[in-house]
Amino acid sequence: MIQFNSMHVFYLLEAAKWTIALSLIAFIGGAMLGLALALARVSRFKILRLAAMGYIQVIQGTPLLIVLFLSYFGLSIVGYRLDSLVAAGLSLSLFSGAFLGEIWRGCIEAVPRPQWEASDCLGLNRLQQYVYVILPQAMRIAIPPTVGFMVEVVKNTSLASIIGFVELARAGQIVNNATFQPFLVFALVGVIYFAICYPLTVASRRLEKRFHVAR
Amino acid sequence: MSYHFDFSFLGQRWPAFAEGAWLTVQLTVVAIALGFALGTVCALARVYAHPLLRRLVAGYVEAIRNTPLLMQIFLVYFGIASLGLKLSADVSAVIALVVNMGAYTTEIMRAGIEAIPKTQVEGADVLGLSRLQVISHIVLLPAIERVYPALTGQSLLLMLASSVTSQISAEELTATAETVQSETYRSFEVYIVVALVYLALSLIYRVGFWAIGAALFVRRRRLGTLR
Amino acid sequence: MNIRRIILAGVLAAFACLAVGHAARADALDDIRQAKKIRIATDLGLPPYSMTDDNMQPTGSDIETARLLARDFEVELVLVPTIAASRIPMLLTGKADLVIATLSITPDRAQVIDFSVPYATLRTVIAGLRGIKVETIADLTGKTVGVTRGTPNDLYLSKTANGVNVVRYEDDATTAQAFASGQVDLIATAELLLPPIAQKNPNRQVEIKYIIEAYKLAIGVKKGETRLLQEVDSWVRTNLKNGTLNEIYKRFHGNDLPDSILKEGE
Repeated sequence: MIQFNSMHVFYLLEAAKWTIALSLIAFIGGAMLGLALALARVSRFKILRLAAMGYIQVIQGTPLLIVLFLSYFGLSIVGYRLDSLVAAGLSLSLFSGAFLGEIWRGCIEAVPRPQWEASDCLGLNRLQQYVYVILPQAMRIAIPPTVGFMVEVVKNTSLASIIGFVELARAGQIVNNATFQPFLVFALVGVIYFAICYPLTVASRRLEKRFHVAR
Repeated sequence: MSYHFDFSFLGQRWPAFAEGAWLTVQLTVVAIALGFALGTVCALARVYAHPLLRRLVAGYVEAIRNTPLLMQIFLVYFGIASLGLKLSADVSAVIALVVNMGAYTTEIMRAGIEAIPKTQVEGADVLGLSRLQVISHIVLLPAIERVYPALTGQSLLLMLASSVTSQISAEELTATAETVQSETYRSFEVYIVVALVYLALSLIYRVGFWAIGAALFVRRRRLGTLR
Repeated sequence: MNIRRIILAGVLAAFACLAVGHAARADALDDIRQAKKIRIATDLGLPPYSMTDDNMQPTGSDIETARLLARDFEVELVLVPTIAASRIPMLLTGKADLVIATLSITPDRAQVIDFSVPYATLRTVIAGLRGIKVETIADLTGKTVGVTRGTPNDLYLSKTANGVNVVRYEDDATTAQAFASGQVDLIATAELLLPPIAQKNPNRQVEIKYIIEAYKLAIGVKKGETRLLQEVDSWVRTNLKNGTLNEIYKRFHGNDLPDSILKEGE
C-alpha cells in the first residue's frame, strides 16, 4: 500500500488550483449569462421575458450532472473542439447563469419604483436609467447573495470530476485509488473545499450586515 | 451538424427510466422528511439550547454547507465501509442526503423561528400554555409557514442533487441514464429524456408541496394573511 | 429601444459564433494534421494499462501506446480523460479522435464505431474474497457483484447471469475501491487490475474465481473516418511487426502479446 504522504497532499493542493480556475471561469461566464437573463426577465418585451424564464425554469429543474453531460457532449456535436477546462467551464456557466439571473432579477426588482419614476422624470432613456440609476443600486443589493452563490459554484465544480476533468474531487479519487484510504483522503479533500468556501460564506454574511446597516 | 437523433430506444427501455425515477422519488422523499426533522431539531437547538450545543450545531451546518455533496457521499459510502461498517448504496445515499438536507433546513428554520415576534411567545406564556405547546403551536407551525417557499426550494434542490448518488451505484434516474446510454450509445438522446423526466418530477414535487402547504396552513387560507 | 438593440445584437453575435465554430467539415485526419494535435480518450484508473505513477503522471501500456502513436503521427498528444461508459460517446460526439482505453472488440460496439487492428488483449474475470466459493456463473446467483458500468462485464452480469445483485460503479477504479473498502466481496473486472488491488489491500485477500472471457483490444475510431482508420491500422501493423507494441506490453504486463495479436503484424 502506498502510504499517504505529503506528495499526495501537494497533488490535492495542485488540483485545488484547477478547482479555483474552473470556479472563476464558471462564475464569469455565468455572470455574463446571468446579467443577460436578468435584463431579459425585466424587459418590456414579452418574448424576452418568456424566453429567459423558460431557460431558467429548465435549468433549475434539471440536475447539474445532467446539464453537464448535455452541454459537454452537446458542444462537441455542434462542432466545437474545446479543451476540457473550457468545456467544463462553459457547461458550468450555463448552469450558474440561470441561478445568477434569478438572483439578479430579484435585486433589480428590489430597487424601489420611485427610482424608475424619478429617472424618467429626469429625461433619461432606458439604457441610461439602467446604467446610471438602477444597476448600481441593484448591484449593492446583489453583492451578498452573489458572493453566497460563489460557494455553490465552487462546490459545483466537484461534479466536473464526473466528466473527467481533473479538479480537486477527481484528484481525491485518484489519490484514493493509489492509497486506498478513503476516509482520510476524502476528509482531507473536504477540508480543502471548506478552506476555499468558508471565507466566501463569511464574507457574504459580513456584506449582508454591512448592507443592512448602511440602509 | 452530422449527428442523427434517434429516440427509438425508448420503446423498449422506458421501464428502466420509470424504475430509476421511482428510486429517485423514494430516496428523496425519505431524505426530505428525515432531513426536515433533523433540521428542525437542530434549529431549535440553535435558538434555545446551551451555548456549547449551539456552537456544535453551527459547526455541523458550516461543515456541510461548505463542502460538496459528492465528497459527503463518498465519505459515507467508502469511508465508513473502510472503517468496518458496510452500508448499502441506498442507505448511504439516504444518510448523506439527510445530513445534507438537515444542515440547510437548520438555517432555513432558524430564520423562521427567529422571525416569530417575541410578543407571540410572551402572549402564549401568559395564556398558560406549556413550553411544548408554545413551541409547537406558536413557534414552529407559523415558522414553517413563513419559510415554506424556502423549504420547498431546498427540497427541490435535494431531489436534483440526488443525481450524484449514481456515483456510489444507487440505481436512480441518473444511473439509469448512464446504463442505457452505455448500451445504446445514444448518449445525447438519453440525457435529453432524463432531463425531461427530472423536469416532470420537479413539477410534481412543486404541486405536492403546494398541496401539503394548503392542507397544513389552514389558518392562512381562512384568514388570508399570517398576522 | 437601446436595450432591445443591445440584447438583439448580443443574441445575433452568439449565433454568429456558433455558426463560425461549426466550420466546414474536413475529415478527422485533416483536422488532426492541421491542429497538430491528436485527442486520445483514456481512463486513468486501469493499471497497468492506464494509471498514474508515483509522481502522479500518466503511464501504462495504453498511455505509452498513445504517446508512440502521437509521436509517429508527428502531432501533439492530448489525453482526454474519460470513464468506461463514455468511451464510445467520446467518439460519437467528436470529443476525442481516438480511444485507447482497454476498448474490447464486441459486435455491439462494432455497429456504432470502427475498430482498428487489435493491439493488445485483456482477460476479464470474476474475482473476490478468498473463501467464497464461486466456480461458474451459476454460483453467482443470489450474490452481490460489483462491476463497472458500460463494460462488457456489465452486460455479462446483467444479461447472462441469473438472480445476481449487480452493483454498478462509474469506473474500474471505483469498483476496485468498492472491493477494497468492503462494500462488495465479489467483482467482475479485468484480470490485470487485480495485482494492484491485492498489493494495496493485504487484509482483503482477493483471488480469481474464474475467467469470463479473453478480449482483443483495439483503438476506437469514429465510423466514417476511413482515412484516419487506415492510418491507424497501418501504424498498428507496422509496430506489431517491428515489435514495439509487444515491447510496450511486456514492459507493463510482464509477458508477450499472444500470437493471435502478433500475427496481424505479418
